[in-house]
Amino acid sequence: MNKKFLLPLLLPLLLTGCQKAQKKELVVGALTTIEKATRDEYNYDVLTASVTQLPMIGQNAEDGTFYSQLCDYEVASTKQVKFTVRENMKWSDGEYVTANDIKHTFDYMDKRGSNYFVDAETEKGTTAKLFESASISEDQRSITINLVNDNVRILSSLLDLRIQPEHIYKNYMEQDSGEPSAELSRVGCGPFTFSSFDKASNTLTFKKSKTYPFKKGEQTPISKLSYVLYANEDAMMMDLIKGQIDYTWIYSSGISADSQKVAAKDGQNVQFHHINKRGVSASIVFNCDKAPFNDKSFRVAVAHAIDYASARDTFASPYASVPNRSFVPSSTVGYKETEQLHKDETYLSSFASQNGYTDKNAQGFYVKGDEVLQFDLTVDSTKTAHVRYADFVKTSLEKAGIKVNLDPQTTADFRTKTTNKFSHDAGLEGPTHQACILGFTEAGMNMMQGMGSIYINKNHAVQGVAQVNDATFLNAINAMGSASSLEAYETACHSLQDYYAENIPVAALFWDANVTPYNNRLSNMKSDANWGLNSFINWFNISIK
Amino acid sequence: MQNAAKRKLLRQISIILISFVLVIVFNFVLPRILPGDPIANLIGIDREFISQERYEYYRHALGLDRNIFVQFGLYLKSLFNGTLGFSYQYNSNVSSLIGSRLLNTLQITIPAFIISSILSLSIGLFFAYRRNKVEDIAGTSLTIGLNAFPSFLIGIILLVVFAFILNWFPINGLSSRNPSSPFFDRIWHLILPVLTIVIATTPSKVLQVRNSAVSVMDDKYVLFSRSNGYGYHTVAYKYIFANSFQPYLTIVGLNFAASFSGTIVVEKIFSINGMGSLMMKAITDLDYPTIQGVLFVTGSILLLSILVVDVLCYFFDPRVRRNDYV
Repeated sequence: MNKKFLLPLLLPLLLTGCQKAQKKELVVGALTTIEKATRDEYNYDVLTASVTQLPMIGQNAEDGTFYSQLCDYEVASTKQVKFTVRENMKWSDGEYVTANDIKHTFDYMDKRGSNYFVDAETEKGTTAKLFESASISEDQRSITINLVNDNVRILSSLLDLRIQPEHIYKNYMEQDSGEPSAELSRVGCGPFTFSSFDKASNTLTFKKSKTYPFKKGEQTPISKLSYVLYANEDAMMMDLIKGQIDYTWIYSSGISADSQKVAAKDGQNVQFHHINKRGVSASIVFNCDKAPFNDKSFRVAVAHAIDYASARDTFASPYASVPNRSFVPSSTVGYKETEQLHKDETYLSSFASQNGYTDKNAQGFYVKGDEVLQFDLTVDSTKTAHVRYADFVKTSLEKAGIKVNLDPQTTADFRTKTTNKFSHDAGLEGPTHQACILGFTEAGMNMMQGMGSIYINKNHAVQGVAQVNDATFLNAINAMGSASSLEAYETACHSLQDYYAENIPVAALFWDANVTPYNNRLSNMKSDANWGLNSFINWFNISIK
Repeated sequence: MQNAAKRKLLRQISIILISFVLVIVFNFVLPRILPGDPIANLIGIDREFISQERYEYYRHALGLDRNIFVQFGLYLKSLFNGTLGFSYQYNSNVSSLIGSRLLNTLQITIPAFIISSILSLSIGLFFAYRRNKVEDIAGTSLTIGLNAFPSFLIGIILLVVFAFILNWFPINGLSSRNPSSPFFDRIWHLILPVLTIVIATTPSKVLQVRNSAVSVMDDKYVLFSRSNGYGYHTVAYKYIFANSFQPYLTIVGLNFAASFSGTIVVEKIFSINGMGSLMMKAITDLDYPTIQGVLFVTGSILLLSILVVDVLCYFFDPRVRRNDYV
């Protein structure tokens, strides 16, 4: 047969074979419960961020750079930012995505208490709006937003805002106007669309979107994305080791250190992806407005009586590290290196001798006459990890000579004892704890001025756990909030971290990483700062054998 | 005498009805005694910023801005209209939530209940019949030992050994993704959860049956039946069990009622969305409507079971009809 006829005949067969080879299913184990698989359900909404629903931009967890998801972005100045919907972006019902959808989303969230274009009212007062005005371009693809104040971190504050379709949600603007139907709520602009939810097999399935503008250089090898939902981490890890799932996903967290050890030992096909956390899983927060921790030297003494290496080895992953005196993790934008925390009982013995605790009793605690050197450590008893941390701190400090009285509380009572809002709601003047065990989420670390200041600032409407109110601290966070350039912001951040290191309102027990185990048929995994491996950046970079 | 027994039965029914009213009242009160703010849980107790507007919206939606009697009236209305309330955690009627979970729960608990009831009866009677012999001593000792195992440990051991190490059974859920034979696939998924409940609940029932049977073993009619040459099954079931079945029937009735409330431990281990996990999450979230709705359903079924057991005892035990038990 003539070769020039053979190739056209063979070509379709070759192409079919290539396409079939590219149809790949990714199966993710998720530690979550989902009831209805609709957007008004929090767990489903979080899981589908970057799957079916896109934020405007994302942030690469490895280097902190921002990247386009729904929109390209342009930061004209610290008071103006422009978002342009990328070409041919469509909703899964066929409608084009426009800048009107972005404006609508801001307005929708404002109706629910956000402060984008309107002031948000709280019991403590008003939280001022972020945006002064917005204008939409003639082609309706761009929105230019003018900020009320200079804000160098505006992009960070928009990472988790998923844009929703105005043509569907415009009828549901008010809080009491209900929710769209399940089918309508699943309309999104992401690279995948909802396919099915089988509650019996705990499987949520998405397929590659027909309306997403995939193009050369922006392709995903995933034709079907399935989530298997688990109620416990052990079962999820067993299925990963058996090869039933490709990797695990726990929102804003990795797997526990215990699971890592098991997977490393038993999982021949398992590898690990890790990203340094921007939150602090475990810390002891001192109430700096109340005895005994209104005394800086006692805070420093207690902070240096804890065995941090042991804490890291006991509780954290193999990628964890001993923290510094400033509790802000090293992966945070604006980070400054401060002295590493270490166990040094000379601080404690010096404090004890200066304050009259010259003897030790039969239990080994410092005493001043009949008075034992001690404090109460409040802990949320519903969080088993925190209870373990509290017990560790107690053991560590009592070996050094300080008596620690554990004060376990239910979540509600813990909040009443440690936060501004809940203590005020209970009719108290403020938090009443002496010290407490607390974890700082990544979102919380990033809120308002950042660097975890909301947990430290006595004046924060909701948190304020450390009750710090002195001028140096307030000047630093004010400078961060009003910074007119990234350099000015980072300079202010360094001042704040110097304050933290000098005064130790918080002592982190360890800095850890989010560790995700994955099947070794996967490679080139990329992590988003907000969504981890369950993210846009991963769908378009991952390789599957 | 029979009139006295009838009056006693009617009195039992009255007590059940009064208990039903008390259940309704307690179901309303109990969630409100739990510490914490249900609205803070609803809008995210861990969120760093809480909007006052959202807070007030949900306070009104849950009726918490009204006086307690109005709230109780709204609660009664939700019971009578069949919705059992609206859960803002799930954005769904509580009746729909329960409906979607109850079937999952019953698929595990009813087979376990039936198997456990049959096993405990036959094993308990056998031990009683062979009282103080090797079978009884060894079997009872083993049963006591097994009774000490908590259900979560049994479940984890079964999961690790049979699902993970031996790979004989699946680890998660009630079915596989895209099963070729859905019916047999479902049975395959149910085996380990059902077995967990059977192993966890049978020992205590075995001991109960054995002890009840032993208490009548020395009665003359048992001796008479054995001396007449009747076989084991006739003696055990027609004579011993027939005269000692009341405690067993009571336990079976209570177990049946408990089947509807689910088992949080088994559901957690095998990742099954059942009534137990629904209730557990509702308590954690302070989801008042869901707590009230689930308690109402499970409480009502429990009272109904108690009533049915009393009626069955009345009809099947002539001593009750004769009012021999004063």
